[in-house]
Parts: sequence; C-alpha cells; structure tokens
Amino acid sequence: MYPPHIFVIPGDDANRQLAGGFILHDQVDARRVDVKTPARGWRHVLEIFTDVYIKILVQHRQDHVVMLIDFDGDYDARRAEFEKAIPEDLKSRGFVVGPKQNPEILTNKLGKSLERIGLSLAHDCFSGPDSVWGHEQLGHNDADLKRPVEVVRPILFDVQP
Amino acid sequence: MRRSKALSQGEKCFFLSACIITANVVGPPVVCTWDEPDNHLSLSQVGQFITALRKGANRGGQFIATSHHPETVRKFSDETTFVLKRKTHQEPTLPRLLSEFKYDGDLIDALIRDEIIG
Repeated sequence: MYPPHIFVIPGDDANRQLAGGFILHDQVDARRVDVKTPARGWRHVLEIFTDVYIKILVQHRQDHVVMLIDFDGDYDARRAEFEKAIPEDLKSRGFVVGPKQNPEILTNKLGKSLERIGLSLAHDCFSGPDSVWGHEQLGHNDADLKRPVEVVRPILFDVQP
Repeated sequence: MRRSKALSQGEKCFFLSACIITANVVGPPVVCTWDEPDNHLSLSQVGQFITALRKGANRGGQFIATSHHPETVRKFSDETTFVLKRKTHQEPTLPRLLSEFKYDGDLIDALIRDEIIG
C-alpha cells in the first residue's frame, strides 16, 4: 500500500532550510516527508499547488501538502488567497504556514541558523512547549496549526511523545 | 543471505548507511566521510538517504560528504555546506562556508549559473 506522504513546498531557499532542519529531528520519519524544490515566491507556491498537488491529493487520499511561505507582513490578504485556491474538500489536507515577515528576521531574533530553528520547530511539534512556534513572528500560525499538527503528527513522527 | 557481489551498487550504499546509522545508535558517535554517496541511488531515494545519515549528528556523530547532486546539496543548509574552490590546479583548494557567499534565488540555480563556484 502507498504510505501517506507530506509534501512541503517552500517558497524560497530560506524556507527550504527551515524545512530541512525540521526533518533532521530524530523522531521525524524523513521517508514520509518530501521537501520539494523551492518555488520562487508565494505566488509560485500557489501555482505549483494548484497545477500539481491538487491532482496528487485527489489521487492519494492520505497525502498532505504544507506550503511554507513568507507572509511579508500581509498575513490576512495572503492567507485569503490560499484559502480561495484550496478546494473545499482538500482543506483538511492542504495547509499554509510561515513567518509573519520572513525567516531571516527569525534568525536575527532567535540567534540561530534556519536549520536550527527548523529543528526547534520539530521539537515543539513533537513534545512542546511551543517556545519557537509561539514567537511573535510565528504566533499568527497558532489557529492554522492546531488542525494540521494533529492531522500530520501520526505521519510525521515515527514514535508518539 | 546474499553475497555482497550479488548486491547492486545502490544496495551496497544502503547496506553501508544502515551500518553507520546503527553504529551511531548503539555505540559511540561515528565520523563518516563519503565521497559522492548519492552516485548509485535512484532520484527518489537520495533525499531520505542523506537525511538519515545527517541525523547521526543528533547523537554527536559527523557526516561529511562531497557531492554535485542537487538533491544532496539541498539537504544541507548554508551553515553546513562548504564550497571547495581553487583558482588553478597548482594552488591549494580552499574551503569556505556557503553562508559567506551571496546568491539570489535558488541555491541550485545559482550553482548552475556558476555564481558560487565559478
């Protein structure tokens, strides 16, 4: 049987490094997470999702897509664009998350590399507390994250906390 | 049990990586250096193969690899990638962290454009 997969579409190279750090966490089952080639900005992420991944999600009902973008201080408008583009019946398997501005601000504020921040985010997801997810650059994801974290946790982690 | 000669090159790579990963789990940290570990792997296997070897660092081990493979390069960050450059074949090769280089957009595109090595 085709095992469930989580496809991550990073908006740019910085987001690719964040996702790369996330899958380095010891408990993340890297065979289930596929970090794709970085798109060239959030609009391209959306294009790739609609052109390629909607079909994949329809075909493979256990798969999920996480779009990792910069909100560039425009969270509400950008989020609305994604909400509009994700078909209603796929909203439980297509998610968009990302820093309020961009990942580079996170590295300055946290004093860690993107990869180390990604690793800390995985640690938060696995065992909490939400020390990094709760950062003011990421806190806006709270409402959007509760649903995907619960959904993807059994796929993402090879053991449960 | 299959004799090692009966294994494909890719299968041998998987066997070696399994030994390294296991050694890191059950014993003291392992330092592994591997020249182009991705050479014999199918495209869909490269990413998870490299990630599994990199996870050895979570237990104090080290994994040092050389590669030209885009999937492998993408499994490292700007702070864990060294760029090896030399001006001519008579001069020594100098390693510099990728984070010291400025590039626009995607790393692999920048490498193909020769913006970093060139």
